[in-house]
Amino acid sequence: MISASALTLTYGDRIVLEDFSATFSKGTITAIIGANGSGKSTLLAALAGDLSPASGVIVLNGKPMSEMKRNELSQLRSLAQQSHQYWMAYTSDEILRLGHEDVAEDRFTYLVDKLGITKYLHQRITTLSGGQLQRIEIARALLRQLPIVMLDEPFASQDLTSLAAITDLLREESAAGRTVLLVAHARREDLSWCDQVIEIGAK
Amino acid sequence: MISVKGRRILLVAILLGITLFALFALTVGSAQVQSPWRYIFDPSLAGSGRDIIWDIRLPRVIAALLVGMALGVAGALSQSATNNPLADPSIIGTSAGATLGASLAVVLGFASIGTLGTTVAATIGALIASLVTFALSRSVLQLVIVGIATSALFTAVTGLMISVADKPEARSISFWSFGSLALANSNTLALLTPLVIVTSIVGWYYSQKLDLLVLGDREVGHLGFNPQRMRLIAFILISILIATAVSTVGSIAFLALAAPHITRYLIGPSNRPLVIGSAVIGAGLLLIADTTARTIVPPIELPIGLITSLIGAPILILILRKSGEVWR
Repeated sequence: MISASALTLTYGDRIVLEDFSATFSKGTITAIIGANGSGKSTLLAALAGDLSPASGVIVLNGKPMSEMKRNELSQLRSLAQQSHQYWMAYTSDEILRLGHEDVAEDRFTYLVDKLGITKYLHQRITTLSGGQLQRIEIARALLRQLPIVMLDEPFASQDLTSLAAITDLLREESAAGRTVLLVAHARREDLSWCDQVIEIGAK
Repeated sequence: MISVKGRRILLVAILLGITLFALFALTVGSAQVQSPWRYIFDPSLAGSGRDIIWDIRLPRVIAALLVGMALGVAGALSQSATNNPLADPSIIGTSAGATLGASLAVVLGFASIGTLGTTVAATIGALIASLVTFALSRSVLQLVIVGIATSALFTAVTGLMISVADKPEARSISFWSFGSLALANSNTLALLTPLVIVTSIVGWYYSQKLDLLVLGDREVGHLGFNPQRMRLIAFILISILIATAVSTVGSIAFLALAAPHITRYLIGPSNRPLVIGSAVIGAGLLLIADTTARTIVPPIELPIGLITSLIGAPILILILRKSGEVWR
């Protein structure tokens, strides 16, 4: 579970988000929506521990995030970034396995299959399309089965089949008791399958 | 890409090729040795041929292999540590820093050329220059631009210092900043061998962890590691390797960039095999280049850096063309 209270996030001198409070419970899916530049990704960065809030507190499983070490945090949450530029021609398979030595093989196969990665598993990562790359990021975030899963715009460049696969997977995650948190660029009515939808920057 | 078994066969084949070429390199040189193979297979045989082959050519052949290995490993580590295929110790400032450190030590009289003192000074210079480059750059592209600027700055300071230095050593400093293996002897080897071998092995061991950096700093942090610390360790290793090479035989162009690219084309980017492959390819290329440099127009000895570029550049261009990347 994550709770954020009275968060204010800044980017340089600019206030990106002010006085934000929310609770993200165990076993639920929350979507954060908002216009471009409303601070969705900044909020996600703060909740993931990549950005210290100017004020306010984030509590993960009962412990303030500011008291957690990098290592402790790494056992609690994973994050699928929206995109990542790869400069070295590792294969998809190699990228998926990096830092995941302890992931069970059947979990690996399941995710790779479900997300349609199998056919480009041995292709070089530098040759993949945006949507294919994003599914690699999503698979990486789900492989370790950590208590909290965060995803930055996981649907941005997906076709309908992949979209359905991703929603299925996220539902499975929440059913298994994990906290799922995603940033989306979607209409509230398209996110009815989420347990909670929070709109930020709506003034 | 080649299978693991294929890689091993390729490695053994290349090693065998290098060994044969090394034996051949012992038999050629500006001084003519009558039936050189006799001296190679019977070191106890006395004569000027023995001295030329065992005391002059052999140290030089071994130095070429060790320096090539150091450059190959340093190149592989710097590309991986900066997550940048363009990074090369001469682009990110490491080589220029090493040259400044080494020449400063010599001009100020702290150490003489080819001693451990010079290598230590070169390592410090190399580390400072690479850290300056890294601290000032904010992106993959900036790293290259800032690196070129840092290199220019350190090279200018070295040049100015040599111009005003009133020391006979200054001339030889300008000599080995262009790179030459002509001065390699058993003292050079006593310094090169332990430093290059130990640092390369540590680099190989650590390189597996550096694979993670391809994921980006944010994801590396999420996995519980400190990417900046990983990079610092890599930079220390790269600096020792480059400083060792620069302080013994001068800075040699292009090899540290070419060896990892050639290797990556053959076996892929995964670091542990990449470091081994780059060491072997680097060693082989430098041996070929040095042998060519000292034998092709005897008795003139061509600058080694020109030959490494002449051999390495076409191979590199060919490989990049074949790898099928497109502008985007």
